[in-house]
Amino acid sequence: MIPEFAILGHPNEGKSSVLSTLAEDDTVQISATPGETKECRTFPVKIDGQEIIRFTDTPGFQNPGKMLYLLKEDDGSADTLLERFHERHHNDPEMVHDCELLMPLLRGAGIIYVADGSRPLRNVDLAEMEILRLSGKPRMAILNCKEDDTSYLDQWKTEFRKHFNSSRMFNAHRATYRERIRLLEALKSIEQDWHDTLDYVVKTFINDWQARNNRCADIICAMLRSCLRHSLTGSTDTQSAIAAEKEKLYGCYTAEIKKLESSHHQQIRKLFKHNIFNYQLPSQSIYHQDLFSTETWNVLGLRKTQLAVVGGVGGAALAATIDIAAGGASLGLFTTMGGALGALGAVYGSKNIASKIKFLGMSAGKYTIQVGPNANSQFPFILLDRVLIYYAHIINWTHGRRDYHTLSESEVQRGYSERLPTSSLKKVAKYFHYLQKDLAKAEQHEYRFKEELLSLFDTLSTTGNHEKDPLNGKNSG
Amino acid sequence: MWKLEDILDLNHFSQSDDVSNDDLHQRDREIYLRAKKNSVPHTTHAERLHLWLHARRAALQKSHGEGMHSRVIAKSTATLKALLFALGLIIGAGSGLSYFVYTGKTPLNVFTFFTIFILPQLFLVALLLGKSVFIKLSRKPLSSAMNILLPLFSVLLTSINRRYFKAAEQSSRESASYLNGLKENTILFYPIFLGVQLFGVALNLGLIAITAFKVTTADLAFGWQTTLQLGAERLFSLVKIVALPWSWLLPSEIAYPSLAHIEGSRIILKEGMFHLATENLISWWPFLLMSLVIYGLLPRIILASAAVFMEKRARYRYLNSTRFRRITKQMQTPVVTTQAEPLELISEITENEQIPSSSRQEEQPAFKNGALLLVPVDLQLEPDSKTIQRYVQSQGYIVENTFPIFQDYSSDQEFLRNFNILSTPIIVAIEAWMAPITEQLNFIHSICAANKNRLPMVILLLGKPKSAKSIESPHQQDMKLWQDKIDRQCRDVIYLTPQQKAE
Repeated sequence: MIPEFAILGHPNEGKSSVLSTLAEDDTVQISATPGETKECRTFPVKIDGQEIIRFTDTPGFQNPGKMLYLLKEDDGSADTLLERFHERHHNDPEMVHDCELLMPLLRGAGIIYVADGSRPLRNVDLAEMEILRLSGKPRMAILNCKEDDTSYLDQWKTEFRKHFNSSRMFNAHRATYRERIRLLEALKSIEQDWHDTLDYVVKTFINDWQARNNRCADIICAMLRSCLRHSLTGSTDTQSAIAAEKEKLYGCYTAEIKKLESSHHQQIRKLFKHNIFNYQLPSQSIYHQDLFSTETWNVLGLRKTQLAVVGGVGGAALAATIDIAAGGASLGLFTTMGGALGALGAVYGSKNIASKIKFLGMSAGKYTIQVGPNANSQFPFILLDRVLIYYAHIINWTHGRRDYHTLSESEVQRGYSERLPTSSLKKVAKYFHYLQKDLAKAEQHEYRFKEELLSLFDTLSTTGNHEKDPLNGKNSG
Repeated sequence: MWKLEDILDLNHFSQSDDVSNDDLHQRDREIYLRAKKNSVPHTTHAERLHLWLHARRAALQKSHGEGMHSRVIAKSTATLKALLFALGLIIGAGSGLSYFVYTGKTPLNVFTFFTIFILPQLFLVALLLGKSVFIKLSRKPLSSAMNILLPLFSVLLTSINRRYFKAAEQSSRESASYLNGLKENTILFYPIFLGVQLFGVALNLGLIAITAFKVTTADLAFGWQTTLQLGAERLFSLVKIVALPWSWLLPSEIAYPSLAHIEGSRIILKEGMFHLATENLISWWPFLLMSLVIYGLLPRIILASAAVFMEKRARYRYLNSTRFRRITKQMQTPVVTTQAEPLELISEITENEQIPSSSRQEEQPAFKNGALLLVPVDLQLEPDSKTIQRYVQSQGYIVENTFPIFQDYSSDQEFLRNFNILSTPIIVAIEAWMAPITEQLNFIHSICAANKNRLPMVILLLGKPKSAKSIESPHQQDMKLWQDKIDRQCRDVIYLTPQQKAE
């Protein structure tokens, strides 16, 4: 028999949110209006297409007092108590929700009872807990605090100890990946027969998470590769038209880079199964600043001293080179010189993002203007910081969360790269250097960069970015 | 052993995969599970990659029904190598035949042999090594070489398309995708490099064969001549140095000509060759043959072996790159799905949605005396019924009695049974911050239904208590919800909500 866990509780306690977060399914109906869940909905956990366990969302209790009264009145066998109750009342329109929520229990499901721990315990809650105790099913309770009030937690915990095999705190809106795993781990203890199955599920979930992180690292590498090697070339016949052509190319180049960055971010969003809702970062996030804006370049990326340590140069966010195609045979000489001078100019002030253009050579023949590839050492760190901010939010935005308009949590206002230890920074910088100069070498160094990324992901997956700065443990804001 | 077509196919397939696509994980996992089920080797990275490649090829074959371009490319590369080898043999043999023409008038000049057959080869090898060192020191990628080689491959692909795949434009684009991502890699460089070395090997083999053949079957005489004041002794020293690589192995009389032989084989045109002894004239051939073997053939064999080794190493590195590690890792990672069948979403009530305020809330109390205040048992202690009573009285209502409700089902039923004998107005306190549930609504509806005397009825909607002894106003959303539910069966209910905190 496939182990099944029914999510039960009072209406509007966050049952669907808990399930949505556990199953990473943002299509679960979650409504501010209580009682929206009218029928049981099953979420099978399939591994390689085979159903291993299942979670079932249920309607909230509607008549806990009456149910308890009727169950206590029944003096038949305790083993078939629920069956007899269902048999007698399933046609009663008043009890339709209560009979529906019993369905998974009649199939032998274990119980995950969800209660909002930020509210006081009520008589109806005691009745519900007593009903579940009478069911004799393996059961666990979850305190899903919808608000920050913790003054009622002790009341709840005391009652939970009386009625359940185990209990846990689990905030469906803030649970990190590790907390989800810990919840599944805790389920093992409620029924010994399901221990091995749950163990397998937990291991597979961990594997799956690692695989997703791996794929995310691949996406980031692909993004960096395409953004750092992107270039545009334009040409003009007259010297006076260079400025206009340059402006046009800058516009196209920045637009294309932003598009490339965005498409890779969307891939990450999809990877972490945020499919339905238009996920957005908090409005105050630095992420919302333009990729090439002064503020982005002031806040993200490395400090001057760090740039010196990793042997890079900052400077112009983007410089253009002009090559005079003398009869179509300039051999790229001017392009090389332009690039070198652009890089030299960039040394003066690592946070200066003013675009510079170097004009070289004689005015003979056709002028070819090239924008990109961006050789600025700071540029990949800016891209990295932005994608890490995005990643941190996307993995810690639980699937059960729907308060898109009420974000209030503090936002990390710094990038992650400047807080990396020097040894890691050097590895990352080396990879970036090769990405900009020698793709074959970059491929060889990619695994080292990925190792650093995976370690960062691990840190960010452990600590939700909402409460703490995950890299130094201090409160951010 | 990985073949060139395998590498090209792997590159083609992996380039065409979108890493963010979940279906790919499913596909790769199925390949792995199928192999596991059929006990096909699947334990090492290479084995898993072979499985993957085999499955992808089979799927393509099934959907497109045609062979892979890579096979044709690989065959063409092999043919090219064979052609280069044959060409080398022909050129080597041909040039040997044209050189070894001895009419008996003048011996064949050893210096000419060296200048034509040995020195250019040594120069080319030195050039190659010099360039390799330069590339190594300058840390420049091989892209300049690939910039030349890739167009050659593209030309090859286009002709292959025309020849084998009926030159469809789409097919041409598809075949070009086989080379995507390989520009920066040395994988394509080494097959061509090996072909060139095979040409060199064949050329030397042809030359050596012809030399050996001519020495065996014809009467050849070798001598030397120079305008420079180069004495036989100095030449002998030079010859000894040149013969160093093999002089330790062979007897000295075979390894190189002796001083006497060298002196005796000097050609002086005005004196003719009648005075030259035959043993001196034939003493050169082993030395020349060994020079060809050591300075011509051996470097090419070494370079060809190095090319084979480097090609293998490049392939190994390529196959162990993160791209292919990701694929085999994906094959081993179970596919986990936790989603239920999709549902249509019900629009949620947003905070901005305004609910019409009930005019009845603002109505004046309909009665001023003798009310029965029903307080949920949960509120008996906190905030406590006295606080609620005080609040109700502060609103102008007189509370005669207080009665606890929602203690349990039987008590509530007991109350309802006795309700119709009551003659006092009713005030029901409700915790409106809690979700309305059927049994509480039924209780209120039952009071309404039993209120045959049309006694005035007030519902006090309370918000979530923030502290002991305080009553709070509920959220508008909660109020509306309760009012809607109660109004379905109750008429003329007066709703009362605390507007501000009351102590």
